[in-house]
Amino acid sequence: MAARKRKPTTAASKSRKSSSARGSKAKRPAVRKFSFWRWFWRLSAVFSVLLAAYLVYLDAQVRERFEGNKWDLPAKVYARPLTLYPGLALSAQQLKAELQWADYRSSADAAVAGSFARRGDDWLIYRRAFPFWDGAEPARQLRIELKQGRVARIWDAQGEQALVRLEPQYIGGIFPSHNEDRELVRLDNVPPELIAALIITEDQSFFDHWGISVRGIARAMLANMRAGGMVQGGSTLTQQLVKNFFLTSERTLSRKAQEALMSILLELHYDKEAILQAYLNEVYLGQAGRRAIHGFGLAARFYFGKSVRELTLAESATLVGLVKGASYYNPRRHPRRAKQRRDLILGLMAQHGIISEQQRIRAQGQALTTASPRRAGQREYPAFLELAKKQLQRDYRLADLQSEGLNIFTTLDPWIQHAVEQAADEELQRLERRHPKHKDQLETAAVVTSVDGGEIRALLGSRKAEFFGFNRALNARRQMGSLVKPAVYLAALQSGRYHWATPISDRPVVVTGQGGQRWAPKNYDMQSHGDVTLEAALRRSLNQATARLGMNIGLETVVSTLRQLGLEGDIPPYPSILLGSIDTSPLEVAGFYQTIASQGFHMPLRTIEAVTTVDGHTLSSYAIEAEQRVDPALMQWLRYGLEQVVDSGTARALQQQFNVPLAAKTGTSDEQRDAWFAGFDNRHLGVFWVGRDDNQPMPVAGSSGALPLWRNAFARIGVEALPEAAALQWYPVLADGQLLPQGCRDRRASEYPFTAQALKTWQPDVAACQSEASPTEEKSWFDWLF
Amino acid sequence: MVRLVVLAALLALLAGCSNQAVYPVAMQPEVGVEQLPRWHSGMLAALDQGQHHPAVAALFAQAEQARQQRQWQRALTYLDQARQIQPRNAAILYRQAWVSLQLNEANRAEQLLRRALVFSQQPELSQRLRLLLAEALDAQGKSDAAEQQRRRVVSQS
Repeated sequence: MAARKRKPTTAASKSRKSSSARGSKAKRPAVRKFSFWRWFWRLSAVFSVLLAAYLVYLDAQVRERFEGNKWDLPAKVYARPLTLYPGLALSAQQLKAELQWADYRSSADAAVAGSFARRGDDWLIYRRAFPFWDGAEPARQLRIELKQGRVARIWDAQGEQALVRLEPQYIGGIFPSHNEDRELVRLDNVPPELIAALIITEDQSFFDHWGISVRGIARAMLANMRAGGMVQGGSTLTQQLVKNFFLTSERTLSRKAQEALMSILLELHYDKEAILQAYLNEVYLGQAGRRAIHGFGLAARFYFGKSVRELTLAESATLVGLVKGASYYNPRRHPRRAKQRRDLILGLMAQHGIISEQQRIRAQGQALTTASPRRAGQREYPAFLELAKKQLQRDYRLADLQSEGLNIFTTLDPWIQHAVEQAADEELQRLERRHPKHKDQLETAAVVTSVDGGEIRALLGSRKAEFFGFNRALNARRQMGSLVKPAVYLAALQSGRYHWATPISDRPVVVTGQGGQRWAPKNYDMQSHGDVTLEAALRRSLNQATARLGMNIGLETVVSTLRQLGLEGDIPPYPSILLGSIDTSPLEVAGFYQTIASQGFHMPLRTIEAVTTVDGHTLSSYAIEAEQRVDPALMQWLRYGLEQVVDSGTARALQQQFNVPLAAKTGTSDEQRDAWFAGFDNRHLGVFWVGRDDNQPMPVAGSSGALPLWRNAFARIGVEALPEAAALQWYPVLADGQLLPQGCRDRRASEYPFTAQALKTWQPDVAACQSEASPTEEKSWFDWLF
Repeated sequence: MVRLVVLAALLALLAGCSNQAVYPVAMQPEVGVEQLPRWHSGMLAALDQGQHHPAVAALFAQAEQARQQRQWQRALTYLDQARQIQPRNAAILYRQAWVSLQLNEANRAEQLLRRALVFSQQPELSQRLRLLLAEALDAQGKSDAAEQQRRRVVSQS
C-alpha cells in the first residue's frame, strides 16, 4: 500500500525535473504568462463554483423564508362580542363605551365602517366585517333602538333583526419572546396613496430596478444634497426588506454585498407586488410598551385606531414618515417632527403629480391627531391574559400560540372589567384617605363570573390593572378567613342534625390538638353571645359558635364539604381551618362560591370561548361544563343563610344600597391581614380581596375593606334580585328549634325555610302550637286613619 | 273642551308608551314541553321547533342548519350562545344535551339535563328531560340509574 502511494509522487517530481531541464531563459515569460492564465482560469472556475454554491445557498434561504409563513404571528385575544337582542339590559353609556373601546368613531351619519352616530334613542352603527368563530360576517349597517335602559328593536338593511353582534374589543396578544406584533394586510387593502407615498420617499425606481439601483442611489444623493439633509435613503425597498427580513443589523461591506445578492435573488423569484406586500407587513413602525409594532396594518390600528384601508391621505403620509425613524418621527412624542416629515412627503407626492395641489394643501392643513395609546382598544388586560394563556396551554402548544396568528375569543366583559377597575381604584383611595398610614400599601384582586355558566367576566390582579406584574387573583396565597364558613354551615345542614333555627352555643371554646397546643378562637367583637340560632351565627359571622359547630360535625366532614364545593389545594387537618386558616387565591375562592351560586353545580371557571386559525377555521369551541355536586334544594337552603348576611348581618351595608335579595359573606383573616368579600346576585358572582403584599395587619375588615369594592363595582354593573327559592317551604319555629305547623300563629315563633328532605327529619308539632290573636289582626293607629 | 283635548292627548301618549314598553329577557322563561323539539321515528325532528324569544329562535335556526349538515360542534356553539342569553331555559339545555349525545359526550349531556331539571317548572317537560337523561346514563353504562329515571317518568305520567 505504501509503495503504491509513493509512485505518483515520484512520477510527478520526475516530470517537473525534466520540464525545468528542457526550458530555456527566452521561453520563461511565455511560460509564466501561460501559467498565469491557467491559474487565473482555474481560480475563476473555483470561485465561480463557490459563488454558485453560495448563491444556491442564499437562494434556498430566500425562498424558504419567503415562501412559508413569513412571520411569527402572535395570537390575538378578543373580549366577548356584545350580543344585542330585544330585551337586553343596555345603557346608552355602555353602548357608547363599548363602541369606542372597539375603535369606533362617533360621526354625524355613520357612513363608513367603524363609525357610529346617536340620534336620541336610535343608534346607527356601521359595524366592520369581522371573522367571528362561527363564521365571518360582512360589514353591516345597524340601527339600534334603546328604550328604558334596554334594547327595544334592531334593524339592518334587510329589515328587523332578532340578534346582532358587535365587533369584539382586542384585549391583547400572546407574543413570541421578541414581542413582535403585526396585523397582516393584503396589498389590495392598502390605500394606493400610501403605497405611492412609500415609493416616492423610499425607492422611486422600485418598479424598474432588479433589486438594487445605482440610479436610485445617485438620485437619493442628489435629493439629499438639494434638501441639505437626509430625505431619501439609497437602499431600494427590496434591500430594506432583505435587511430586516434575513440579516442582522451589523454594517459591514460583506453584509452589504450579501444584501445586494439576496435582493437580486428575491426579485428573480417574486414579482414586485409580493415584495411590496411583504415590505408593508415587515417594516418596524413603533413601540408600545413590550410590543414592537410592525407593518402598516397594526400601525394604522395603533396610531389612528382604524384599519389600514380607512386611513386618510394625511394619516398615510404620517405612517410612511415613520419608516425613516419610528421613534424619531413618533407622532405622539414628537408631533412637530412628525408633521414636518408628513408635509415633506405630501409635498413630494404633489411634486410628482400623485396628488393634486389642492389635495396637498388640504392634507397639510390637517392637524396631526392620533388615537390615545392608552385607549381600551390598545391597552392590555394582563391578569385576564395570563389566565387565558394558562387555560389555552391545556390544549395548545405555547409556540403555536405565539406564531400561528390564532384568534382567541374569550369571556371577558370589558364593561364589567371597567367597573371592577374603577371600583377598586376609587375605594382603595378612599380607604387610604381614611388610614393615611397605609397609603400606597393596599393591594387588591378581584374575580367576577357569570353565575350560570362560570364564564370569567372580569379579573383584576393588582390595583394597577394595566401593568404586567404579580397577579394576585391567581397567585396570591392568602388565608380565606370567614369566607370558609358557608362550608361549615352546609356540612351542618347536610348532616340532618341542624336547621337554620337550631340553637347553638356561642360561648368560649377551647380545642386541644394532638400535640397539646390549644386553639381558643375569639369573636370579632371579643364577646360571647350565648345561645344563638344557626342562622344568626352565620349572619353575624360568630367564630366561637362556628368553631363549636364544626367540631361537632367533625373536621373530616367539613373538609369533604369544602372539596365538594370545589376547593382544591392543600387543606391542613387542623381545627383552625373551620375559621379559614387555609391559604387560597381569589380565583380558588371564586371557584368555591361558584358552586354555591350555581345551585350546587361545580363549574370550572373558564376564559376561552373559541379558538380559530388566522383564516377563520374553528379549532375549538367550548361550551358550559358543569357537574352536580350538591342537591340544588340544599343549596337554596344554604343561600337563605347567605341572604340573611346581606339582609341584616355583616354585609347589611349592601341592603342599604340595593334593597333587593342578594347573597354574600364577609371574610377577615387573623389580625386583619386580609379583607375578603364574596357575593352574588341573580347574574354575577364577585369575589374581592384587599390586603398588603407584606402581609401586615390593616385597620379594616371584610365588611369595611372589601365590601365597598363589591358594592361600588356592582352598582356600576347593575344588580338583579335573587329569585325566591322555589324548593323551600316556610314553617314557624320556636326558640328551642321545634317546628310548628304551617299557618300556626304562635307569637313565640319565627318563620324559617326548610327543604322537603329536611321536613322528613323534623316534623311540625301540632300540639305545641299556641295560636294567639295574630298581630296582623290588631289594628294600629295608622289603620284607623284609612 | 280643553279638558277633553288634554285627556285625549294624555290617553294617546299613554297608549304610545304601552306599545313601546320593553320587556326584559327572563333568565328562566316559562318553558313547557311545547318548546322542545318533537321526535320523529326515533330521531329528533328539528332543533328550531317551538315558540321562543326571537334571539333564541334565531340561534336555534342556525343550530338546525348546522344539524342538517351534521356539524354537531357548530350546532353546539349556537346553542351555547342561546344559553348565555337565557341560561336557565330548560329547552336550550335539552337541545345542548341532545347534541352532546350525538358527539358521544354522554357525561356532559347528563349534567346539562340535571341542570335543566332544576329549572323545569312543568311535569311533562321534566318527563322529557328524564327520558333523555336515561339515554345519557345508558350511554355511560349506568343502566340502573337510567332505569330509575324511566320508572320516575312512568310513575308520574
